[in-house]
Amino acid sequence: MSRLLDDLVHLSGLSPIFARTVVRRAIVRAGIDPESIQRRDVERVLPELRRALTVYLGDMGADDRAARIRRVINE
Amino acid sequence: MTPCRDHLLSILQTSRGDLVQRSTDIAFASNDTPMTREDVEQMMRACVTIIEEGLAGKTTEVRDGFLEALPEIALSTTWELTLKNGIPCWGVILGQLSAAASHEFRDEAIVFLSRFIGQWWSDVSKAMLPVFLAEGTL
Repeated sequence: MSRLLDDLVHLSGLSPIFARTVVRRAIVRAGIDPESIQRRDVERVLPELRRALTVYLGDMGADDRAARIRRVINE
Repeated sequence: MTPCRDHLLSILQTSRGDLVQRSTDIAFASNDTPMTREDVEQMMRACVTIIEEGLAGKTTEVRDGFLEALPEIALSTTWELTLKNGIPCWGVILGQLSAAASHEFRDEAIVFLSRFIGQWWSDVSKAMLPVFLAEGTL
């Protein structure tokens, strides 16, 4: 698994039971290969990831997580 | 959309937060696995969204996505843990949502939700049991 994928899984805030699967699927839906995702791809992935996170975290929780991911990845 | 399903959908849309929190408290207390309360709440939110889709009858996107992910999830868990983690969430939300229904819709609500959740577990079994059998963990 790529380091950035590891980071996104961790930053998603999702349960370890389904975090990896949910994040990978969101990345694929954005048209990107999860194993070779780069920092420059994250903005493209965020809308799909936010949408996926909403199911598990609610709207506010997903917005918070998406903002946190953007902040940490751009640091 | 039947009046009963419309009624249940309206309960979900107006009391979603309270319903999720109260149901999570009960399901978490019923679960003796290492899941955190936060993990249980996430599963409960997913259950509510899947039920909401089923009531509205317009899309099964979340349901389908969850089911498609299950064979992969099965590679890193067991059937026993899946049941221990999942059954309390589904059982509690069925009971809480039925209890929140008005008297005139309660019987129909219980029948609808029981069938819906039975079909869900049938599909979960079809998605996960072949993996557990192949991995020799069943």
